[in-house]
This record gives sequence, structure tokens and C-alpha cells, in this order.
Amino acid sequence: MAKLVIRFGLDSMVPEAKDNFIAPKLSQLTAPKLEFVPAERRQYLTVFILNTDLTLRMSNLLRQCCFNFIRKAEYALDEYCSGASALRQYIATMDVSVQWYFAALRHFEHCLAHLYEGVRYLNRIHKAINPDSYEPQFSR
Amino acid sequence: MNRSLAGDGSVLDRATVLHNHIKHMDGKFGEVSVRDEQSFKLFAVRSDGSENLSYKQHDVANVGVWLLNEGLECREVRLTYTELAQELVAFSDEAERIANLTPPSISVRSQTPL
Repeated sequence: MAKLVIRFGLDSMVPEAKDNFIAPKLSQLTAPKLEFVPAERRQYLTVFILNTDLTLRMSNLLRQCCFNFIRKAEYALDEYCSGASALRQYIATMDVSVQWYFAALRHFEHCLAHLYEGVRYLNRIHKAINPDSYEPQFSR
Repeated sequence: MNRSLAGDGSVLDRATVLHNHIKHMDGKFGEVSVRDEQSFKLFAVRSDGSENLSYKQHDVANVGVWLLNEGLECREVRLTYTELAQELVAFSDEAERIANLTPPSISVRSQTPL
């Protein structure tokens, strides 16, 4: 008996169309090799704030940079976990929608932005502590 | 955390290249020579069936960075999920040391408390 299959949505697009008009190599994205990172972590920013009494000896600049480096490190890791979760959702619904693909991409974009900003704060911290032998962790 | 310098191909270097492609996406779109060609040409083929593209797919991509099975990619570099995750975990470890005011890499160099 013949079976009528009605294709609609993204599964009706040929791979070339997906790759050209949505995102490069999208048609090959079927099984992402995501590194597991536990989402539950200690809240380092809270720890830092609770250590406020001990940080009073820091200069304002050093305290500000430490505070924001910790923020950026937490955010970057959170965004990675959210991106990985969204990417798994995309794989489960890839024939229907690209909503989760772009949600994952957004989270990874934010992850990279927080990582970049975190490195800048880390450079500042190193420079503030040891200005004589300061070498940036990263500069561009 | 490993030291990294611009252009050395390290994880941080590639992460920054990816970030630049996101941050300056509009400028990157304008860099390619075929920026003013019609999108129609993406589907054009020669009479023998071969593709008529004189440029690469990523030159005309809608996004500056895209996702692969292995990781993230832009026109210039690729960064695997594993590399990114390991860097983030190292970052988190550094944050923990700073939050506890015992960052070894810093205190060893300075020999004085924060």
C-alpha cells in the first residue's frame, strides 16, 4: 500500500538550501560532540562578597577587576551550559524549527564575549599585582 | 590558564578571533568581494550541472560564526566544544582562587597578600 508523506517545514529543504540560506554546514549538524560541564557550581561571586572584610586592603581597581572577572567567568560557563542545552534541543527538533539552533548560537556568542571580557579583567589583575613583570595573558 | 598571544593559534586566540567575527560581523560581511552579487547565484549551476560559485559558502553566510558537530567555526578558525569547555573550567578555577583570595599564580609572583 502506498504511503503518502507530506513534507513541510525544514525537512523539505535540500541540504544546500539550509547551508546557504540559514547557516553554513547546518545540514551536517546532526550529532554535536558537546563536552559535559556540570551546571551546578559554587557561587564564587558570593564567596568573594562574603570575603569583603578581607578585600578592603585591595585597591579599588583590583577589587573591581576581581569582582568582574569572577562575574565573567561565571557567566561564560553558564552560557556554555545553556548553549549546549539549546543545541541538544535543536537536534531533537531539527526538522521542524531552527529556533533552538539560533538560541544555542546566541548562548555561545555570549559565552565567547564573557570569556573575552574576563581575560581583559584577568590581565588587569595581573598588571595591578605585578606591574614590573606584567605580561598580558592575551592581547589583541 | 595557559598564556596566549595574538596569532599563536591557542584556544584563547581562536576564541578571540571568533568573538571578533561576532562583534564586527557587519564589517566582515563587507570584506568579501562578492558582497554585491545577487543571492540567486547561490543556486545557479552550469549546464553540465556543476556549481557556478566562484566563492565559498562561508563568504556569504548569514552568520559570522556557526555551529558544527565538533564546535564553533568562522571564516578563519575553528574551536571545538571540548577546548572551549576546558578553557571555561580553567577560568572558573581561577575565579574560585580569586574569590577565596588565594590565587596561586598571583600570590606566588607577588609574594604579598592581595
